[in-house]
Amino acid sequence: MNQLKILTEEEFVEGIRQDNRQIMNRLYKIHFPMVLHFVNTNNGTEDEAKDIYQEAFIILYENLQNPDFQLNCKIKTYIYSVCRRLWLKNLYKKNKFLGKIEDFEDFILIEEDEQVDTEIHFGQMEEALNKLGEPCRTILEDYYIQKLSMNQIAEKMGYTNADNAKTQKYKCLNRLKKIIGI
Amino acid sequence: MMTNKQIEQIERYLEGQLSAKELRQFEEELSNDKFLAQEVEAHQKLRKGFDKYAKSKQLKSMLNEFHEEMAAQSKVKPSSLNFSIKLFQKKYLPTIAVAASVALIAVLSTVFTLDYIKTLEGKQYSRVQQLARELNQTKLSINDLKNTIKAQENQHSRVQKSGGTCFVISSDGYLITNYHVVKKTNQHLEGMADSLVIESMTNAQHRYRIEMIYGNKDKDIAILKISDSNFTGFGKLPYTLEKNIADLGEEVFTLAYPKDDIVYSEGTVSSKTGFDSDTTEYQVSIPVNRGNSGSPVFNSKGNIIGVITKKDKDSEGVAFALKTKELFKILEEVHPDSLKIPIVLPKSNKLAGVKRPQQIKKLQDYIFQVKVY
Repeated sequence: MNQLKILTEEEFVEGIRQDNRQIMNRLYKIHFPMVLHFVNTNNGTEDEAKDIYQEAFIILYENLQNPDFQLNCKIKTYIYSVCRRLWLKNLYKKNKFLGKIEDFEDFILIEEDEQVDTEIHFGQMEEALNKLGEPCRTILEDYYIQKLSMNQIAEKMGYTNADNAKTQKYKCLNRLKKIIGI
Repeated sequence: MMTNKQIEQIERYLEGQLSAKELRQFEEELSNDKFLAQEVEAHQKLRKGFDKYAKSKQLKSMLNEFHEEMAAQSKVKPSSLNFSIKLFQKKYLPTIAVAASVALIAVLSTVFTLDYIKTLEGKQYSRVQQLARELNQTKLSINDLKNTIKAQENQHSRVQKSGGTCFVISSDGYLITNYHVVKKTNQHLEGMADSLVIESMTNAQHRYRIEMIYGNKDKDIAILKISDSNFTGFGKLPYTLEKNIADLGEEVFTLAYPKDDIVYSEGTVSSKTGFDSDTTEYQVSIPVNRGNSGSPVFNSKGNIIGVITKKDKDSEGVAFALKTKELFKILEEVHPDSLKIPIVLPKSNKLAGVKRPQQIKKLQDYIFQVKVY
């Protein structure tokens, strides 16, 4: 490990807010072992640890983008708390919860996803797109995420013209709405 | 369900591609059509969701890059055996540490405790010996105390085991008291040779040794005789034993030794029958105590009408006195051969009409306290 300047808590928070890749990289590497240890001790694999760690990291990132968000504890505690809750949820889902969680860190109470009703959650969208299947998934992702034009999409997917591709896209959109339930 | 055309328009509206004219038209439609407005909102939400999803996906791919970088940096591959050992260590290190420290503490504390106990044992042993000595001393002193108490008890009983009052019925030294006052001196019954003494605490301090010559357990009467050699006789008695039955309501009084001094109490004959309607007794309303046993009951003339035998435990001021009639019967029972001198009862009364204090002054010389040693 190359010796780097030790960053303060505020510098990390600022780094995330400003999308500083280097700072986020460092932060990521600092806290992963803690989460890995936690998940391993509580009946989880490394892959599962990685999944919940990244989810927690994204939650932290997204929350920090919101100027109203107040981080009332250390980043470490926040990540641990979110991971703890996510892992508990995971265990419940798999019916593997043994009634006790081995803890290694202080943790705070994480509020149940507050914005779920008003916004489409990251996991929710991913799940819906998986359900949607091909070719809808690719069409919608190409259009809304890759921001390709309908002509490009028609060409890529082998539609005779953009209008046909558009018709298909609207069908897919309607189905997606149904899956998400809006 | 929206038509494709409608959806396209919503999309174009949200993307800001509508011309000014179209926009005006659409906005007007939007304000009138609630369903359309709802639809627009849903699409807006979807697009936001996509944006967020895109951002998250981007973020996630970045995090994956970090992760791979990290995995590459750590020299040990995640799936290797070493790693799992490391994992095992990570997982159980705290437990192992706790177990080890508990074991260590247990061993150390056992060693220390044993050591401490050894040193204690020596101290303890001497302490036990000391305690044993102290205990012995205590035992001895308790025994001493016991003996002292016993001795005191004996002394106390020597002073006066029981007591009562007796009165003279003959100038030759015959007296009457309750059998229960002197019963313990009856050698034939108890096999004990306690001595009997009568004392007078009045102006003439008399003290005579006596013996019981007859006892009637049923009537609770004992006849005593002064056996002292220096006894010379009482002279002529100033009272007699009344032959007539006392009247109900007749004023009576008694002189007795409930304590070491003579006590006068008065009352009336309240019933011609005694306890449980016993016809041999009177019921008299005289307050009596233990020492009253055997004391004579006088009528206003100063003649004896009975002998106090018992009192009613349950009601105050109720005593029972054996009638003189019964006394005569008992005196007749005494075999003349057992007596050296026959019992000659007094025949005349000198106290009738005399005031009570004068009567008592005369009478008290013939009343004695019985002391049983």
